[in-house]
Order: sequence, then C-alpha cells, then structure tokens
Amino acid sequence: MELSESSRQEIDRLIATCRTRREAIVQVLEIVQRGQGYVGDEAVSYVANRLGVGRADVEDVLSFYPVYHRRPVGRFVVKVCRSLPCAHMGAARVVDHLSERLGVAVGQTGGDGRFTLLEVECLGACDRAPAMMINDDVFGPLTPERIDAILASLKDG
Amino acid sequence: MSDVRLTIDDREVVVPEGTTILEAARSVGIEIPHFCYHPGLSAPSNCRMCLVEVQGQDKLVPSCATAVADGMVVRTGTPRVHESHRSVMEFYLSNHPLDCPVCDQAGECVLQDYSYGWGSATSRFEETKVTQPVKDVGPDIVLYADRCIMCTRCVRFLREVSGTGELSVIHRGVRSEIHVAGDRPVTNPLAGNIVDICPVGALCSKDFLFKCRVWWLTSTASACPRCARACSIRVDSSEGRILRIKPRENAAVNGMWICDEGRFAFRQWHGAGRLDVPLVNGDRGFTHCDWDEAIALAARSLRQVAMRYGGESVAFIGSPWATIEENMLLARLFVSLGATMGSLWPAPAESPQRFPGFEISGEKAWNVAGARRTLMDVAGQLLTLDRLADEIERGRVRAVYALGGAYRGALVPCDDLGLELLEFFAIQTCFVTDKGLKANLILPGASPYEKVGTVRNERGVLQEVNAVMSPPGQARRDWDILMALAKALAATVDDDLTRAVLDRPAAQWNYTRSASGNE
Ligand code: SF4
Ligand code: FES
Ligand code: FES
Repeated sequence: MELSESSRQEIDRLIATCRTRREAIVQVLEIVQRGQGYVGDEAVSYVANRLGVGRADVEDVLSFYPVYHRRPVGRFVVKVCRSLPCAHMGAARVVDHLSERLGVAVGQTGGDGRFTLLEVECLGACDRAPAMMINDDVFGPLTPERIDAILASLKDG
Repeated sequence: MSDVRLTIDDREVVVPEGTTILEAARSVGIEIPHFCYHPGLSAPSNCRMCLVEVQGQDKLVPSCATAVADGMVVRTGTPRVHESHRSVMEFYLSNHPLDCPVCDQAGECVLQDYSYGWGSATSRFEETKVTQPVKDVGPDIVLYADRCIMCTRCVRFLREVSGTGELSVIHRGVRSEIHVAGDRPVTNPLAGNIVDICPVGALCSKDFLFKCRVWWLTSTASACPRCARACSIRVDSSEGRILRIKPRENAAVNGMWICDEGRFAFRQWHGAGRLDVPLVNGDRGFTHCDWDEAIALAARSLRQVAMRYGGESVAFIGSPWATIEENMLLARLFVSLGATMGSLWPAPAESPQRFPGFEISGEKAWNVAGARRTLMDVAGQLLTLDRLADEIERGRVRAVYALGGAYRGALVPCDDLGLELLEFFAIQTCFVTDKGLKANLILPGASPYEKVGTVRNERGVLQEVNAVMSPPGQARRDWDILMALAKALAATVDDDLTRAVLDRPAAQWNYTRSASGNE
C-alpha cells in the first residue's frame, strides 16, 4: 500500500522540527499507522530512507511498542488486557468469549476485515478490570453480557 | 581538566574530572563487574551489573555511568553490592540456556566467570524459558540468540565504530532479541569485532566454531601483517595451527579493534602452495636442492658478479613484508659486498577505508615504513623499481638478491624488471607461484606469523613481532637464511654486525613493547 501524499507531507513537516532523526522515528511511525492502519515492510523502508537511518533502527522502535501493527488490521481493533489485575479478574474468560463471538483467534483478523483480536499488557484501567480497548475507547469491568452489548453497539463507518 | 580525588575501597584515587567510577577503579586495578560497559563504546547503563555503593547515597549507583566527584567514597565489595550482583545474576541466568558444555565462549565468558562469583548452583525459576533461534548474522558470524544477555555492545559497535548499523534490538523485556534487518547482514569490514566484544557465547565466529576449547589455545602477541597500520594482535594457535586472531588494545596503533581482512590474513599465507624446499633453476626448470647447495650457489654467484663487474653491480631488494632486522641485515650484507643500489618492493596500494571509529590503511603490508627507513639508513639511497630496471637494462646491475615474503600474488609482476638480463637473481619468498619470477634460486622463507623481529607502522610506532609457529618443511626464517648467506660470503658479517642489527631499533627508535591484552 502506498503512503498517501498527506501522510508524506505530515512526515516532512515533522522531520523539520526534530533535532535528531532518530528521535523522529516514533512519531513518523504514528503518522504512517494513522494513515494506513499498520506499518508494513514498504513503509519501514520508506521511513528508514526518509530519516536516513537503518531499517534495523526502525524495526527496533516499531517492535518495542505493541501499539504499532505490522500487518493490516480490522476496522475494530479489540485489545484485551492480560496483565495481573485483569488476569485475576477473569481476562482469560473475556478473551474466550470475544474469540467465540467474533469468530477470530487471538492475534488474528476476521475474514470480513471487521475485527482484530489482540492481547495486550496493562491498559491503565485496572480499576475497571477486566478491561479491554476497542480502537480508542476503554471498556470495563467486562462480563459476557456487557461484551455482547458493547459489540452490538459498534457502528461501522 | 582538573583532577578529582576520591576513595575506592579505601584507596586514594586521583583521576581527571569526568572519569566514571568504573574507569577510575580500573585505573588502580580494581575490576568492577560489568556486561554492557565497553571501554571503546558509549555506556547505556543497561545491565546493572556494575552497581556500587557511594557513601551518602541511598541507592546503589551504576559505576559505568556515574562520574567521580571530589571526596567521593566508593565501595565495590560490600554485602549490599554482592547481594545486588547475586540478584542481577539470578535474572540473567533464569532465562539462559546454561549450555556451557557446548558453547564456544566457555572459558572466556564473562557470564560464566560472574556465575562463579555470584551465581547460584540451583535456580528458583520454574517457568518455561523463552527460547530463541540461532540466527545467521553475516558471512562469518552466527548468533545464538538464546545466550544473548542484551548488553547491546554489538548494536553499539555497529552504530558507533563501523557506522553501519546492521543490528538492532527488537521486541522488549524477556522477548528482546538482537535483530538483523533482513536486507542487511553484517558484512562490513570490521564485523568480526562484534564477536570479540560479545561478553557471552551469543555471537560466534563460524570460522572458529567448535574448533578448539579456548583453554587449549596458545596466545602469541604480535602485529598484523595485512596493512601498514600493523594493528596489535593476539594470535591464538593450537598444535602449530593458527585458529583465530583477535585485536590487542593499543591506543597508539589500533585502539581496540582490527579489521576482518587482518583477522583472516593468516589464510593468505597458510594453506596450499607454500614453498617448503629451496628451488634451483637449471636446464630442467626448477628442481629441489638442499640448503647447503642453495646457499653455496648464491654466495658463489654473487661473489663472481662482484668480482667481474664490481660490487656496485650487485643490487638488493628489500621487502615491506620482512621485519626491520631482516631488511637491515640484507642491506648491510650487500653494502659490505660493495653494493650501492637497493630497492624495495612496493606494497599493493588500495584506497584506505574510513569508519567513524577506525581506519584501514590502503598500503597492504605491515612494515612499509620500517623497511624504507632501514634500507635508506644503511644504503643511503633507495631506487624505485623502475630505476632499478633501468640500471639492469644498461647492464650496470648484473645480480639481484631479494627478500619477498608477500602473501600470494602480492609481489608486483616483475616482467618489466628485466630479470632475464641478469646473470643471477635469487629471492627468499613464501609461494611456489613465485616461480613466475624467473629466478635462478628461490629460497623458502617465513610467513609473518613465523617471524621474530620488529616492524614500524605508518605512524612510526614500533612493535615486536613474535613467531606463532615454525616455517613449513625446510623453509626457514628469512633472518636465518641471510645469516647463512653472510657466513658463506666469507663472514663479512660478524657477531658485531648481528648485534648492531638487533640492538639498533632498540637503541635508536625507542623500541617499546606493544600494549597488553584486550580484556
Ligand atoms: S549478542 Fe552479545 S554483544 Fe550483542 S547484545 Fe547479546 S550478549 Fe550483548
Ligand atoms: S491490568 Fe488490565 S488494565 Fe491494568
Ligand atoms: S556496566 Fe554499568 S550498567 Fe552495565
């Protein structure tokens, strides 16, 4: 997938404000992902070239932050917290329930391209454990019924 | 910069401002355990092995990243510090494969050494260890990712010294791993250094892999023959075979590193094709002869030419692959015969290779400067090979005696030299292929790893060269061949001359031993 012209321009503007190229990597990747939904191999090469750093450096940052996706994801990215407090409160059951309802295994995207199901570490919502995030919204505490209601309320588009 | 006075383990230490605690301790021989710190690289302070106690501070501090301060009181061996070492080691070992019995690094492994000091014989870790793959990192380097302790020395070397940045760390926490960006294996000319600086057995040299347990190796300090930088090296051999070469730290020459060409230069001299018997060129082409015959022939031929045409008609060619002593003996011997014309084989010239933290010389022989200066010193002048060819063509030079010793194919083609016009040409050299030189006599000499002597690098630094092994078959050290020739030439070279030759570098050029080990 080609990077859009507006993403390219945004990247150029950003680079102009950075002291070192390395420090720009995080934000440039953010722009790429916002534009394309993920950061593919082509994008990695583009970013490395544009910043004059090695691919290795880009992959270093990219793999450190689980927020970046290396492959295309669904319209809804469902991230279930599996850190300790959520685990104690039944995160495993949440994952099972979601997986069954969405027909998607952890780490996978459904064939219709609607949902991607992921396990992540603490979402900072331990007070609402077990918690999950769908795109930019956090939900919890979750029960099977609550999950069904949330899924039903999701609107495409 | 002003000096700072502090106390480390009850010892007064004075170091320049800005020195780290770890380096200050080192300067007085106190070794603080460490993984990620390396004197040739930046300090990320990520391994936490170097923590020490500083009076007045609640927490232990990383000595590799903490600058000394006036009046600081540091303790490196308190119970708290040892406890910290123990817990750091527990973390490192919890996920480590503990496969020392099959690991190449065993015996020179920092993790192994520290385990001995602060490890535990049993592990509390009952979970499944994260296993990681064996990765191909480059043509000569393999990564046993399981053994990696994530010190990032390799990553920093490639960023800071070679400037090539092929490796990085991907993922995080326990899943972190050293990553080779798919399109760029580590092929840069300094790559081998990352194997040397990896404190554990994660990065291994494919060439050395499984060849020998390190405690069976004999280490010989020498200099690298590959280029005019003449890096300080340590040659590790076993049963008379060179198994690997590593850099020795020497601030005046190579700092901490060597290039891969030098690391594997021994292959250029060792292996098939080494000349191991004297060869004399007669009616039936080259045939073997014994040493007495060979030396007698050389002496007789040289003397004849000198008598018939005068001493000036005998010329010599020194070699940038030979030591200072060998070149000096050659020149003095021939000057004593009346020779006035000498020359020097040029070293192959390439363009120098520059990296952010290292430079490889483009002059491809170790003793270019030493040979030139020595020959000039003794003979007063040095002809270019072209001039020598000229003198040969005009019949003013009738016999030439040369030191060779170059790696295979490095001696300039001599077609233009007019050797066929000579009445006698002899050369001490290493390869059968040098038969192409149309010599009357080819004497099997020694490779740089078989010599003893001194070389002078392009910056004027003198270094001692030591023999790792004996020359193959009947081959001899070039010094010994020259001495035999000198004797046969009616002992114009007496003990005083040899002594003068041997003492001269020491007396005149402030000969110093090269610096010591790299660890
Ligand atoms: S491979 Fe070796 S040098 Fe590189 S990070 Fe791992 S332990 Fe350190
Ligand atoms: S542990 Fe799940 S949100 Fe913090
Ligand atoms: S040597 Fe100081 S933290 Fe690694």
